[in-house]
Amino acid sequence: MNEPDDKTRQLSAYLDGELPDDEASRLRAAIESDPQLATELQRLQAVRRLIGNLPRQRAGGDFAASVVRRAEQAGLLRARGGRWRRWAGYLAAAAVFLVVAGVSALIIFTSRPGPGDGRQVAMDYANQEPPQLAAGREAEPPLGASAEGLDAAGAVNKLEAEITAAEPVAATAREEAPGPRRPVASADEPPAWNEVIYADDLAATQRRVEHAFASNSIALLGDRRSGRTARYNPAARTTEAYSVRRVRTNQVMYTVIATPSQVAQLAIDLAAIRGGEGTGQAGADRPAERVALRSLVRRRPPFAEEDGKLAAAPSALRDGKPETADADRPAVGRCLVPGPLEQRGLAYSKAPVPPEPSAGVATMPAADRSTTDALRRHAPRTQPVRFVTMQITLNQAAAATDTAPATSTPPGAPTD
Amino acid sequence: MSESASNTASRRAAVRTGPAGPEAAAQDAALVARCRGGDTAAFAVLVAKYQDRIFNVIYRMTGNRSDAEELSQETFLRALQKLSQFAGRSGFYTWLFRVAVNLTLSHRRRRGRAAMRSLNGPSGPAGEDCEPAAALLADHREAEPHAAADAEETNRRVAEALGELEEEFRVVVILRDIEDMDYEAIGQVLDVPIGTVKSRLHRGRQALRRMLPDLVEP
Repeated sequence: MNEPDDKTRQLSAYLDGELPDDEASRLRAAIESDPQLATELQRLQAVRRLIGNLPRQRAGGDFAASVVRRAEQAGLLRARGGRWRRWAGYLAAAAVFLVVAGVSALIIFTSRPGPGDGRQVAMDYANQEPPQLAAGREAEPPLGASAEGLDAAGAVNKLEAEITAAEPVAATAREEAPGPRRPVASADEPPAWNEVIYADDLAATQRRVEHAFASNSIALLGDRRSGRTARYNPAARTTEAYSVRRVRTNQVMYTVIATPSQVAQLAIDLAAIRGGEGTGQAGADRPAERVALRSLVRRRPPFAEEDGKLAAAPSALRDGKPETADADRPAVGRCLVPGPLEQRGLAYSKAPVPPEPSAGVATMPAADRSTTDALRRHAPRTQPVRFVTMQITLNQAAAATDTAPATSTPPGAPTD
Repeated sequence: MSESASNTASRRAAVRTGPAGPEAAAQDAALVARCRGGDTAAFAVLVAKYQDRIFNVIYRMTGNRSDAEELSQETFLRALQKLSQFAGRSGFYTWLFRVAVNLTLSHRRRRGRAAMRSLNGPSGPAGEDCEPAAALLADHREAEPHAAADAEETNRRVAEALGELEEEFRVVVILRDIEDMDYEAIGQVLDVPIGTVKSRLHRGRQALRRMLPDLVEP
């Protein structure tokens, strides 16, 4: 048996965290003592990074409509009159299902919402269990022609109906040129929540972060030149609410404009990502917002199964311990996640505290009346629509990873 | 249970539920149940949910946008047709990718494996049609034209190299390094043992390393 070749063959699996613990430990020791093996690992890491950096391609805008039309023509779906408008209704409903949490970024809510308050609807949606699609629904009558037929979740429909009533373009989804994207919020204040993630594999972490956005129905801002303004896209019925820019080759920064509820959920998702990819810091520049957000974070269920990464999640969040003491702490930058980078002294630095802004968070301009009207039905009359801004910075932990592969834990690798 | 066994169990659970977790898997299962009854809205939701990921994988496999469009549509239609055969042993997501990969491989065999062109050539999508990575490039271009041009050239070369890989290596590299699937899920998609996935992935990456020496040297 040619032992070095065997070890070389194992490098890819080691890189992907797919080796059993004992084999990974043996290989790690071998890498430490064999510079050639270490170099080979770095090359494979580079290959993986290059492939992962390839731009993502998306299906065309009418893709789903075409598929549904073809399925109907092939008799694979129940026929319902065959009119485009009806299919458009279903597709609009599908889009709503995927983005309604993004739409909920337009919904106002307070810290203590009352019954029937629209903000409670937003919270209900944000906190609800997975949509109960199957149980008790199978025998329901066929769907009607409107988007109401998609009973993905009661809360979704409630929100969707409200928005639809004020959005004739979206409601009918006619085959016409999409309307202009409408600004619904801007966020020029300092972020209410910061995340800094040091990633062994920047591209893979980017993908996971962007998946977290998608799973929270937060879409990329189409026009990257106005990255500080969230907009509603009436054609796609999405809230375009995050922007991204590459600061340096080894640093990527996201700005997210969203409801506190969405930001709280993102904070949880990102903590899980940090647990797998390195470590970071979380905090808020404004104590009041931080308290509100942390309160929301604590109300969330514990981290979803993240394939063994739960243990690395922030203990305060995981255990539901009160964090009120932190509310008085003026600085951000408390390192929440212990991990390999922290042990190497790369974990975090204290960020300066920006001055407390005099106004609240983003306010919605009055330019877009229909969206504004829809939102105001959910909003208290005396308060502006409130959003918070979240800033996420991904840093390539290049020095730690590339020069010392033997001591780094590859993403997803079992820990010792 | 040992940590290793626990990791293995949780990975298996992840394969069954897909990368988005049990909530998404529960949603998928419910939607699939409704699709079986011919429910148009449920089908539309599934399409909307997975269309971009399916499209991206097929695009990287074929290197051709119109082929990717057609094959992606065909994937969803075929999945709808074969839904009765979906037993739920794997996640719907995994099963859908299996349909997509099989269709694409058959298509490529029929076409005689025509040489792939650059995936980022002039015919490629631009602007808002591209997702964040392309957006990064666009931002980059505004700020640092030379760096952006370098990045674009790098992507072009990487895509070309990926296109030159043997089919069986390319698909594994795409599923792992682009789609972020774990080995077990890849094994289910391709219907091969995990050992084969491991071996093909390593050989694929090694081949890419040889094709892109200047880009991978530490």
